Amino acid sequence: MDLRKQIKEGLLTRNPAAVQLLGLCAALAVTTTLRGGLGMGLCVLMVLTLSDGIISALRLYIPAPIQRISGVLIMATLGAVGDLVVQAFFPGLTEELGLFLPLLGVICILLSRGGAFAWENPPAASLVDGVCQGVGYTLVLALVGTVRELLGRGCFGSGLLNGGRGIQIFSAQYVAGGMILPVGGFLTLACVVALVRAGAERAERPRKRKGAAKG
Amino acid sequence: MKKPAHLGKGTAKEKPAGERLSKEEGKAVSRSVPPQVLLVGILCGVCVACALVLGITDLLTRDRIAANQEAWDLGALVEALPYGERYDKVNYTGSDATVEEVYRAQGVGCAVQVTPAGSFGKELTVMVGVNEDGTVAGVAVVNSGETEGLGDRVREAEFREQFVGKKGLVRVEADGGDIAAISGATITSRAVCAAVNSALAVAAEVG
Repeated sequence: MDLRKQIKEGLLTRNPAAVQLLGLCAALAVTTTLRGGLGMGLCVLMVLTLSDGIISALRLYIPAPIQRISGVLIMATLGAVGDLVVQAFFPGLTEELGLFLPLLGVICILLSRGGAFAWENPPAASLVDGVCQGVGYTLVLALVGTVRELLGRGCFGSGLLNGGRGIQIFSAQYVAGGMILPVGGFLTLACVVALVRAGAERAERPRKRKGAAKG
Repeated sequence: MKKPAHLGKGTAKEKPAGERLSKEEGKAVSRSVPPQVLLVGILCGVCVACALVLGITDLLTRDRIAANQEAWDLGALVEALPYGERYDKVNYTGSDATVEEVYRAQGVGCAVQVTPAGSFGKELTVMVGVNEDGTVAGVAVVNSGETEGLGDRVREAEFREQFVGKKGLVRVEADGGDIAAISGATITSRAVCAAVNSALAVAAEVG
């Protein structure tokens, strides 16, 4: 298990939202605030890691022809469990995520590449992969959420900081309301994707350059 | 030396010994248990396990979720009609189709949940508290469904506080009244006024 490689992949070179372009529906819909983006991302992180771990633990006991089906079953079940848990213990977040909370299982199936990684790797590596992919996803969502909230409402961290009201950076009179609407979501997401991809490319380059410089 | 051939995409690198043998040694091996049964059996096992997990989780969380839902609904009641000690549901038999529920708080007034007809997204539900003297005690938005940043802004305290103390028909400024509508969201603002008017009428009937 190459930890550095998995971290780099999850955050940059194989970032699920920015590079693989997975789970974008949720990335656009729930990111009107930082709290929504962060909340969704963390839910995905938990369910993804858990299901990757369980699938990896079972990989030797489930024959090849039914692996895909079993994987989908397990992820869907854990997604539903996650849905119920959030509804029970985080009603505010339930309200914020709306109808994307039940889609938790679907997003995780996408992000885990259908469970492809977990079926072929031992539990430790699979758990790490789940965490890395989850963190990468969360970062993108949190970033988009922060920007949209800042430009669309002039506020930072509503629902989280300052007793739920967030820190008002500038008055609501000067906001670009369109950032809260879908158009703002698309624009912000596009910028974040471009940013992450630039970082991913930079991350792939230095090895060659270093070799040339030293040589 | 026999090494299992890698059979196409999506197969695990390590396969259970039973599978490997039967594919490798071919038809010569007599199988006492046909692999189909094994597959079906394992799949059923996975299904049962998943069902169990779901059932248990539901059992554990069902009560909490119901309590959260109630607290959410109660929140709107308390916001619309504060100082009530108990909110008793009243059977509403009037003719206003937009009225969903009516609650009475003894000595304080009543609260009416209205889904006005003219909202933008058609989902706006408002809880209006009416004091015993017929003035508005408060307005709470139970469900919005309006555009964020526009119609949804009727949730803002500034807008809702305008209704407190009002009696008789309320209207937005554009219609000659004194309620300042949310800029760019006249339709939603009007719908809230309609809801308040419905509530005031119901309160007069019931109260």
